[in-house]
Amino acid sequence: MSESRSPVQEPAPTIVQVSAVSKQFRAPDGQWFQALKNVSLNIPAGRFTTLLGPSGCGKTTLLRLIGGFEEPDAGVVLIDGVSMDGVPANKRPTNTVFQHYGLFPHMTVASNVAYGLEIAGVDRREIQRRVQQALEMVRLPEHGNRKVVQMSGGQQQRVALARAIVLQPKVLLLDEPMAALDRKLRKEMQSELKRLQHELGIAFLCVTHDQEEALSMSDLVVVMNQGCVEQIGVPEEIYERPRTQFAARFVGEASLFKARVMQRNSGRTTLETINGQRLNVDQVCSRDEVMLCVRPEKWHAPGSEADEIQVTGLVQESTYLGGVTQIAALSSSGESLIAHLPGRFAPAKGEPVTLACAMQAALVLAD
Amino acid sequence: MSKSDSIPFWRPGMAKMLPGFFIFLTLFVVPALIVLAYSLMTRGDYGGVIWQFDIDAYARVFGFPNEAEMRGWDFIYLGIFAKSAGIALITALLALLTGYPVAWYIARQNDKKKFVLLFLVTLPFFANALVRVYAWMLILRTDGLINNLFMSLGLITQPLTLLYTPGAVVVAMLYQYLPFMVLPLFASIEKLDVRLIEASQDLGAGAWRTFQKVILPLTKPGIAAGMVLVFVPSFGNFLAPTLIGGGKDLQVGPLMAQAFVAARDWPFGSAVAMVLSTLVLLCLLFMARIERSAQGAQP
Repeated sequence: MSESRSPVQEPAPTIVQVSAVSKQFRAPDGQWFQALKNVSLNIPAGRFTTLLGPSGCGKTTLLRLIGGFEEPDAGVVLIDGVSMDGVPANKRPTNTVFQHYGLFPHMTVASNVAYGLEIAGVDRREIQRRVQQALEMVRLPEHGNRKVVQMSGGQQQRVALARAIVLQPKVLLLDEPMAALDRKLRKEMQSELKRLQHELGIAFLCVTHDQEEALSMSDLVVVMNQGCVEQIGVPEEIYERPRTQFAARFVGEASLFKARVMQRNSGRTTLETINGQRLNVDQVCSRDEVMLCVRPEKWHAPGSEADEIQVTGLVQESTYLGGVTQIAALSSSGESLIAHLPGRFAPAKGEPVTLACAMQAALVLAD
Repeated sequence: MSKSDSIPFWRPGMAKMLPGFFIFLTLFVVPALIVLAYSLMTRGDYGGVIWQFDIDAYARVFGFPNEAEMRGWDFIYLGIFAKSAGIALITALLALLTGYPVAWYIARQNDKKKFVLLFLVTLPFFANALVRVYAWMLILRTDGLINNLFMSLGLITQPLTLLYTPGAVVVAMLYQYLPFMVLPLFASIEKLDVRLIEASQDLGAGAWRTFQKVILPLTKPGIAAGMVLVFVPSFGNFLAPTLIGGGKDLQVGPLMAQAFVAARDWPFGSAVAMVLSTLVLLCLLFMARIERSAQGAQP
């Protein structure tokens, strides 16, 4: 699986470099709130990068720092190698698709899209050509003369996109672009965004709290929590090898359970689960107790293989999802387990269940 | 969309408008009709009118020649209208320039502070207009506040002539009507979505271009309302030109007053009032049009 990954693996040059950036805000109650804590991060050129995290994790603040709507308290943002320190939003090579779209209600669709070009002093006929081109790219070629207020939410989103891409920024910033769309439209826009990014070759930096959206659209996912970057990686990496407990829980579902370190020798560690099973991992663990993570689909009914981890628990809930049954259980040591078992398999609530997975499916988390 | 012809004249709920309609009828429509009637009558020698139709009052306002009375073309009254309009327009423009930053500042405060600041803006209304004009006389006159201050600071040796100048009239009216500018501007600016300012910046516009292309067009209804609300009372103002201007330049307000009181020429005074009212109505129509055109842009 990991060998047959998409061609995004080749290293791309960095377009945005965030180094050691901190930012705090004063809440209305007078308390200081640390939105970003010493964040460093490289955004690759020409790729679709997503900042993923729960609300309040600092992802939008980071986007606004890059766009120039906030200034960092410490640290620096470089775009294309140039320090953005003290550079206002209107002088930055970035454009933003706002969550609220921010379309000018007193202008037509075409004037909205032409706005940035007019400010830049582009020749009138060139403006017309590029506006039309941008509207065609977002599949609204006939809507130039419409008033913005006459457009549906999905259409307004496309206008906002056209208005941002028409300026050919070095980085396109998208702040929760799908938040206001219904589910069906969201799916549509996701593939649309991906297509646009591919056609334009501009770096897209998208903020979302929707892990499914992040995994399906991105070349690179940055998982954030409480003002810190938890993990950076391609979607497969984020899902298959979460680094921290937060990343494991926030992206997809995971069963986390404790294991004790028994033995350490030259890069390999022997662990023992609560059940007394031993497993060897190719990792150095400095602590005496670690957390293991297993993705739900890695579980299966206990078999006879020798290198299998087994966990026993009491069923809390079992839900048939079509094709698989999702089982939520509480392990004997009090950890909640979640497993997708194939077929219709319905143990009653309170019944004991034994889940098994291959040893290599259990990942040691860093915290 | 089809216009008012599709809306029935009487709709449910209109009964609630009856008290307002009645007040409007008795206190505005009827008096206006009386003035209109007077303006079309013949002047009585000792005031009042003789009930005989005559449009001579209007002929005099517009300066038409009248051979019977040996009058040639005479635009003196139109000139007074133009001058009054000019002074009122300058007042309105100055009110806009000074009121916009104030309204902007208030609109950007938290709710509690907004309330206090708006209260302070309307505070001058708690004093009678005459008192406020007298206050300005005390400030501006030769041994007034400004001259005394400048003299004691050694900035000037001779007192400046501040009172009884057109500038003083403008200042007094500006002070008197500034709240009429600030309040509608505040309402417009408060409705403005500040996120649009960020969007404009994001697209490369600096502060001035953003103001010009986004903020100004979207606060146009407030600007139009404020301009009209300051222009209209300044145009027909009586107190400021009389007391502060010293009656040196005749303006529309004093002209009307003189026609009734001094010249005992009721038809002429009424004709001036009718022309003034018509101009004011045109201003209000203009404001309504701008507001309607801006409504299409509201999200």
